Amino acid sequence: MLSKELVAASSVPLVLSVLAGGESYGYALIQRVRDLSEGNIVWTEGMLYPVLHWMEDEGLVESEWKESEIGRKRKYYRLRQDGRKALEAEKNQWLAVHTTLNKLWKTQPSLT
Amino acid sequence: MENSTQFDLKDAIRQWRDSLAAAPACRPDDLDQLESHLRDSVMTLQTTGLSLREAFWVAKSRLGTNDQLSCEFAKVNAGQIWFDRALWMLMGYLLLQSITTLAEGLSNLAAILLHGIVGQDHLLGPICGILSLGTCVTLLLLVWRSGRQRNGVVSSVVDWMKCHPVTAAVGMSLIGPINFAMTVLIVRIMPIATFGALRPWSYLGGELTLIIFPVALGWLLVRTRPKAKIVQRL
Repeated sequence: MLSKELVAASSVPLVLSVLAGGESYGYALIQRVRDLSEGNIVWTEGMLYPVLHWMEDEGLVESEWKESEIGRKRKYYRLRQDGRKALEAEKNQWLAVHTTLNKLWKTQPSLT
Repeated sequence: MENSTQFDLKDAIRQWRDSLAAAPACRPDDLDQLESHLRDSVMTLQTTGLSLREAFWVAKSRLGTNDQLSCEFAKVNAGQIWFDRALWMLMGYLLLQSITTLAEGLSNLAAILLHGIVGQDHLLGPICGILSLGTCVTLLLLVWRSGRQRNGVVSSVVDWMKCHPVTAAVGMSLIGPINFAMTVLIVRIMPIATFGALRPWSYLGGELTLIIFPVALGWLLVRTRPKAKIVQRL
């Protein structure tokens, strides 16, 4: 399980990355992240919505209420141009941390 | 295993939504979105074998507590919250103005009519006073009663004003001039001494309202005191 701080820090890049694969809605976003992380990243589900709201205010994503396949309305989010740029920046930063940690752990195998 | 038909999901969701709506941080759009999520979650959980009641409780707890949600939404909706507060403050001010002016206007109107009909000017004062007081108290009670209802007149008026801001502003600003015109009319048709004796009476309701408002404010502040902790945390 991720620490509270890491959950908070990783929520925006995770949402951006899922949306890069196509539009989605809150519940599906959470399920996707939970499945991909094999249950390691579990959000307090309601907390995602203020994050999405903030991302929309920042112009990273746009939203639209649409009728779903089951006939109920859902708010779908899709990535905007600024969102794609933000995702690139996030990717570079997270990869920098990941690569550095990986190198360190390879040279200190006892730590892993 | 319990009979899931005994559990009314619609009612449970409505209650959950109402309790969350009490927090000013959650806008109707946010609530719609959370409700949509809750329904999706309940549906998925039911496929894992949970009863409807169990699925609802698990889905609800996964969403987070009302405190957590309103705290997080308050961070992103800060501007909206202040706009709503400013709107309600303005509404309160206009309401006070409208009620006192309406009461005064009615007692003025009564004075104009009675001065011609009754001819006994010493009765005018008390009649105007009772009218002014009665109007203020009745209107305040009506506003209070309807304000407590979900789809009461007050909420409808606020919604209507949001949709027709210009008409609402023009309408509100007309109350003062109309009352002024009536006062001018009284001065013209009434002996100045009668007018002088009448004037304090027609202010009675308005003055009482000015006492009721601070008392009501004090009472509301005392009642909502325990929530002060939450406000500070936001």
